[in-house]
Amino acid sequence: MPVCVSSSAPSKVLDPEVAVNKEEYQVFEELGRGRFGTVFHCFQHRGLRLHQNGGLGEEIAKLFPNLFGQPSAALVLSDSHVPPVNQKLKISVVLSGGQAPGGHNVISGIFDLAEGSTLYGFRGGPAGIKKCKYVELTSDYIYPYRNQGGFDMIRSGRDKIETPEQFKQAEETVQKLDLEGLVVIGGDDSNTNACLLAEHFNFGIILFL
Amino acid sequence: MDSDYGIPRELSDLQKIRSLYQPELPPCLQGTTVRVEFGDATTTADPTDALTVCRAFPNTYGHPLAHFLRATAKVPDAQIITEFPPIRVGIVFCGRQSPGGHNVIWGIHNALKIHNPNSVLLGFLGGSEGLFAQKTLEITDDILSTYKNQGGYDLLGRTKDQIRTTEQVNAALAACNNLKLDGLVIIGGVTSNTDAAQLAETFVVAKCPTKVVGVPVTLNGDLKNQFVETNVGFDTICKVNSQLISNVCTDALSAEKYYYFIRLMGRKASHVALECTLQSHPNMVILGEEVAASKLTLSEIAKQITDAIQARAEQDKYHGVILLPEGLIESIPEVYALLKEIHGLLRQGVEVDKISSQLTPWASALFEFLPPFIRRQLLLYPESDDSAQLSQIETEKLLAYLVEVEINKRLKEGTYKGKKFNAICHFFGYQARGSLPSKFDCDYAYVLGHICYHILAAGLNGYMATLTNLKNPVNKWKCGAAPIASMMTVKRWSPNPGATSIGKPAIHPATVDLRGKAYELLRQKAQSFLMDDIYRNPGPLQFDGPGADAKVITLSVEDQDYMGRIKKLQEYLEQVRTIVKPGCPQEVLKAALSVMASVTEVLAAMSTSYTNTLASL
Repeated sequence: MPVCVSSSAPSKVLDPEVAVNKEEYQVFEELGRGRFGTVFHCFQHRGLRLHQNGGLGEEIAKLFPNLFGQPSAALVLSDSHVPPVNQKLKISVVLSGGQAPGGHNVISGIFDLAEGSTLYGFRGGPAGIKKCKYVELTSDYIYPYRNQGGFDMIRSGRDKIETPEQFKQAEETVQKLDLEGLVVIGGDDSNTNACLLAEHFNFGIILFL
Repeated sequence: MDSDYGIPRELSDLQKIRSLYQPELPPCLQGTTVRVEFGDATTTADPTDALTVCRAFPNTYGHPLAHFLRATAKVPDAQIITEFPPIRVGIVFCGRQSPGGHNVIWGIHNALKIHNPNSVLLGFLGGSEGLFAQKTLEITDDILSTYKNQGGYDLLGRTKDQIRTTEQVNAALAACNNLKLDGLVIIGGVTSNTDAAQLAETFVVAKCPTKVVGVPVTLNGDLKNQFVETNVGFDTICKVNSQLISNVCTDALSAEKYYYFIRLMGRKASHVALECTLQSHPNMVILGEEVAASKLTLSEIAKQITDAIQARAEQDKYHGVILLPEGLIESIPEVYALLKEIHGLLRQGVEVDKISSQLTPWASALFEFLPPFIRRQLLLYPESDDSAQLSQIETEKLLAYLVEVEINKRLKEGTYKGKKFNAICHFFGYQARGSLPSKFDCDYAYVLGHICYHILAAGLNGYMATLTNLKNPVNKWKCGAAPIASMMTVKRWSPNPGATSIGKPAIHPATVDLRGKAYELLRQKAQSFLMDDIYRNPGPLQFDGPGADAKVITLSVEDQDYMGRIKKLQEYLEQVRTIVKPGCPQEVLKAALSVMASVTEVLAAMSTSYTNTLASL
């Protein structure tokens, strides 16, 4: 089953008692050793299919049968000292929509954590996904953009991926690069598009930021 | 309304910290004893102007340069001022607000109180109109506390920037006499300091004891001559604008589909546009001085920009940033002539909606060619310095419109094959003008304020406070004063061919020197700026850290310190006079004669050559 992780952690998870209560969570995978110990992806067992607004929930469930009802996820500290898994992923990022100061640092953050993995950047926003225009992000490439404004590291764009042809183009790109994850950096439209992509692709991890 | 001036204000944390910053004084102004050394009599930059200026200012022209030295300086004939009786000084903001103006007031107040606590500084409320109406506010430490190192002119305010008509001059004279002022300090740019010089001359003739002193404060950076290296406010305006411009550059580079046309405040000359270009590296800048020198038409400028856009399009680039000085519109000869006609008709009292029918045929044709929004703006009444209301004329939109027309024409002809041209227009003027002053402007203004005091203590009239060697740290700055009349030039212009017309002497705005080092630097980099997108973000105005002591590039690249060099030359001449005295060896005398003859011959030839060069322009 595809996995979605939200960057906005539920506040209750910050409660230390809850955080160390393993029974509430199922360990999915370790991301690596962070500043305060090993960092895990954790998920609540209970799904969220029970929706207060039955009508709206049902409509969304129909549109996103694979994604709807997944549990929220949060990163928590681990008290174990299990060595980190030496995971080598192939991930790509895309800057979508209008530029905002700080976007470059999202990419820097991913790059710094994904040590050993391959990180690509699609050029010119979603258009880069369709046309398979990308650049491999290296330390040297990223350096001049750390803490700098704009979206000019890999540029941005407002294209959407919504027609069957466009989805096919995107799928070809993903297969060509053998991607295990795609990070969409943008606002409401961009994240809506990200959700559509996640539903369409039966693969990997997609992060909405 | 008067109660709004000089009131205590609620400051933000940053403003509070800035209000506590104490500028440093150069060594020559520290302590309470200052030596005044007088150099030779001054003359105008262009020798042919000297007679005209002398006739207009018989009592204040030709006075010597003044250098202020530390008390221990070993200089013969220097005058040491040790007595400081209490004096009454008036100060007035003329000219548009400029970051740092408040610090001039702080500086002179500080100097007055140090030398005699009983001295009084009166600020005229509302600028020149406050002077005429004799509305004053006595400046105190309490009043100054929330205005130190702050922007704007709201401590005293400003209104009409003019002390020129007979009625105005008489009102100023009456104010100084009634208030028993020993000195009147006028803070402003080229127009205000021209008025200051005229006032000084008038006061001498009227036997008014008030001495008039000018201070070079203007964001435009156009009060620039052999004695004045830069103006208070220019440093701040260029730094703030450069950050705004470079943010737009980053935005352009991120989206890759917009051209930004940015017009910059700075009056007729292009100093602000040039400096901001050198700091932020936009793709293109159109300098008014280049347009005037090449006599370009509107269509030719639009073509120049379109050619640049096409060159970038051929490299698949459809974004860019283009800077324009607000004075550009008046630098285009055809538009300048049109404006002259319009302003002439306006002054005759012709109604705005009837002007277009009274233009000459060619002016009417140009007027009809222009889009309606520009026509309305060209019909605005001129400023008090007789130029158009440059801040209100949206030259950036006009050029963006003309460029779009040109590109569409090329699309039809098939000579342009790129993507659609999208333009976004900005005017950067008031945003920067109201900024907190930079560290440099705080220092510069404060020290100038101190120099004003020493000018008055030395009994000088019609002088401007000057500081040279500014590209070095404060402790290397050289303090002095120069007669304002020596900064004047005479413009000769006549609408009728063949008619002889001698203009009135004035400090005219310095234009960007197309043979200067700053412009040369721009020419070297222009192609790279245009094509390579080497945008540079200097960041916001900084008061600490590596950016705090940055100087404007046009100040750093030029060989300045004219006053210092004049002084050095005098020292050499004095040495020669000391070495070659009657009774010295024959060989020494012969060598001196030979060298001096050569030097004199070279200088005379250069002077003649310079005059001829000016005549040919």
